[in-house]
Amino acid sequence: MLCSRVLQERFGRVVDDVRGLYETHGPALLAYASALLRNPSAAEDVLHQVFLNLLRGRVSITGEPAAYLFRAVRNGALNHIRGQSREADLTDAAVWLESPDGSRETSLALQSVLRTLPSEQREVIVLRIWGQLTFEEAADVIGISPNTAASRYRYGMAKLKEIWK
Amino acid sequence: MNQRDDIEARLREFRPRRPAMIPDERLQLLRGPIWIAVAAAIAASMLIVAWLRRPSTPEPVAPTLGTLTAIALERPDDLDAVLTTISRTSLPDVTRPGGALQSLSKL
Repeated sequence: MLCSRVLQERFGRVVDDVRGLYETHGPALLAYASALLRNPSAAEDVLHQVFLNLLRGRVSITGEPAAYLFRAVRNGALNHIRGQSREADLTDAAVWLESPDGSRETSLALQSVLRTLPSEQREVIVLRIWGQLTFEEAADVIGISPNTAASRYRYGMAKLKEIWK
Repeated sequence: MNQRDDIEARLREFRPRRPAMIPDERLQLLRGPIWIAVAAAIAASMLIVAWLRRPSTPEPVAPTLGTLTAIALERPDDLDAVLTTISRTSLPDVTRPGGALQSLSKL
């Protein structure tokens, strides 16, 4: 009985921790997955799988939770891309960035502009702007040097400035 | 630099959409403890059944005709077990070393 209670308490703590991480980082992680994948529902599936693995105790977080989660979502998204021969072209079917005025058109316009960027620039921008990661953290997630991350960000922002006026 | 800051500020005004709840989250959360509880309940019920079904040892009774008759009339199912118990204590062990069985085997 005591053993069961200890397990229950321990399990409950893990669940609360995971739920807290989902509340805190879920939106930015979904934006990141959406930036990597063309299919919004696949992006949400990847995100859910990362958290289900944590809830089931199949994996545990090592190091900084945010960096770990972004890395896990990236790996999941890349695995998904590798598993798909051709992704369904549903790019603009769903809003994953909500505009401040609540306009769906504005959201879709920004998403469309982001889609025009090379994916390596787009992902650094998403990690920096909505993931609120430093260049060092973003570089660690992607597996590149901080200088490369900063350079991709700079080029991406310059293109955005040209396109999105 | 300021232009980049401007566009960063504009981008930050957009908020990432909140993802849907993890599917079957509640079920996933409960699955572990439920299986532990079910396994514990099954083990406990099996132990209880085994304990209730254990063979009963009859109380020692005086090996008299009266008591045996009473048992035969009142609890006929127990008579065999009572006779076995009595015979273990009152009859000689023919298999012990130097016992009857060994003596007879030498003839």
